[in-house]
Amino acid sequence: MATLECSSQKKSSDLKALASRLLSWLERDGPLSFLLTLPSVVWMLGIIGYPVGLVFWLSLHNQRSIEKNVPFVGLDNYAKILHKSEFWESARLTVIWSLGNLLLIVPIGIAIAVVLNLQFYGQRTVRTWSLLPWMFPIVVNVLMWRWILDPVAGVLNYLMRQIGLVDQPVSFFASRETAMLAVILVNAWRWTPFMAVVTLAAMQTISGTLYEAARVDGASSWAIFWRITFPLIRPAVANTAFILVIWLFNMFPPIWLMTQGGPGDGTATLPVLIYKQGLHLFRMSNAATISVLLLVMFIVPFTTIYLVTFGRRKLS
Amino acid sequence: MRPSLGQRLLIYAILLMLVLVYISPIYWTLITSFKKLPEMMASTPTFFPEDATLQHYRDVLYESRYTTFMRNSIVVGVAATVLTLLLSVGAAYSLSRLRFRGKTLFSLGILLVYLFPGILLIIPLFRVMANLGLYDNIISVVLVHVILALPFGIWTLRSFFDGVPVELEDAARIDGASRLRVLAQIFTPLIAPGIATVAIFSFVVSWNDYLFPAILLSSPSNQTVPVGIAGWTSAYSINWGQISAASILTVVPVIFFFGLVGRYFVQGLAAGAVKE
Repeated sequence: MATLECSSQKKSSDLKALASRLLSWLERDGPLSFLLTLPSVVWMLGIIGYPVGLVFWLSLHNQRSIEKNVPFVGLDNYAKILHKSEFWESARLTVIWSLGNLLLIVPIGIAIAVVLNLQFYGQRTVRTWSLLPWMFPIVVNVLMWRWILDPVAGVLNYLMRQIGLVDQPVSFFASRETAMLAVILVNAWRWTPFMAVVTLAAMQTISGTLYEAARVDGASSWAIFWRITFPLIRPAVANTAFILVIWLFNMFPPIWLMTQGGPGDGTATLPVLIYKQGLHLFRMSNAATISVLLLVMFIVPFTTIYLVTFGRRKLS
Repeated sequence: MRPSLGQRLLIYAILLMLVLVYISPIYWTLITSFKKLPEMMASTPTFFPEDATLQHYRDVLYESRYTTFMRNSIVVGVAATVLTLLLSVGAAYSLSRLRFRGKTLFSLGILLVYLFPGILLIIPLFRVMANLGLYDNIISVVLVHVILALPFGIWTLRSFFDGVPVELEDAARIDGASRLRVLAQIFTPLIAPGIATVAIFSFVVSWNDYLFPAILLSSPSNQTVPVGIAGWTSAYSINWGQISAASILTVVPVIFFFGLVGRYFVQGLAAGAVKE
């Protein structure tokens, strides 16, 4: 009995000593930061790191759905995909989609930021709430627009007929060109506020004395924008435009929810192709191969340029 | 220098046009949700419902699976938010206050996660979750949603931590409090607005996401709101009244939360894309 009590006492004092050692160990920067960042690191590796590795693995094997024992096929999948005109057509559409969006979002976003940077009544409220369309679920945005663009009862067709723009109702999603145009316009509608808000934040860091000095010298508003505002917001605009390009290449929900890649693959960008091959046709290895190609052809070059250009300032 | 009257009129005219471009689709959805079917499909549309009805809202709330979708969305959103907060508080504190090896690498990792496109994950994640037995289980969506708001969370909280004076921390440490206690009891109340911002951002991102629930969940009873509503458009004849009512119900919480902390979202997004 006595020995037992003694040993349990010893045990609890051992535990206490261990706990206090652990706590004092956690007072140091290294161990504490390890403990606090470990969960984030595990999450990043589990949800992004490992799956990216798996995409490469799948692209070198022949997996149909989720069966075991998949044969290794080397670069066969790549040879197959790169010989398909479907893939190159989809890559072309991805470039059109990204470029079309970018050319709308960046200039209009800057223009909106210029207007919001002026003095007007209700300025603070408008500045904040202008981000709201971007916070809406994509599904809601897309469904709103699909109803507005509806060929039978859509209000846009009614308005276009009223002002005499068209005689017959337009079926926006019936031809490849108008479908692509509609998808780009709706997505640009969603993303322009994001661009505007970020640009506006950059504009507000410009000191007012610069503007005053320019006005005293008699500079026009146009000259002030191009000589003072634009050079100073250019880093932020370039930064955001780069991020946007990377996201645009890979945007899937707006296109899928609007057209499902149709009509006749007319809006089937690479992300749509990945989804269709993988989760509709269950050709997992094909989908994985297209994913790797998207990564290598579009994402890696742009991310590298981005990191080289902006990385140093971001990581310091 | 004050702009002249003409310039001011021009500014207001442009602003009015912008507001119209952004408000009118939302307004159109709102009035559609109150219109009866014949009025909705009329060849000459009405710009204010002549014979308003709540029928579509009743249908959505009592005759459809909307409330099930909503329950799933709330469960996923809350779970993802709690986990995002736990992860980002620790990571942001480390980045703001501690010196450790691999700090630059960790920052680079966060930036890459921010840039990384979700579409590249759908094929492998589908397989991983199937192998783990989590396919068609909302846990799988929670695990992925944590990653979506994590970079914003870490960047936002880091700037809030940076704003807390070092003297406050030192005073508490001299009194003998351990670092973890200082983090929990001194810092957390001081950065409460930051925590609220990250919590709401994380919830809204999860609430809005279409991609991951669409690929990781299959049965309708497990579905979240965005995928659920999107499914209604595959019906033979689309009921736009019901879809509009459901859309309005779905954006109401977003608008409410945005009203609370929207200005911090703007700051946080600007910080992510502009400075540092």
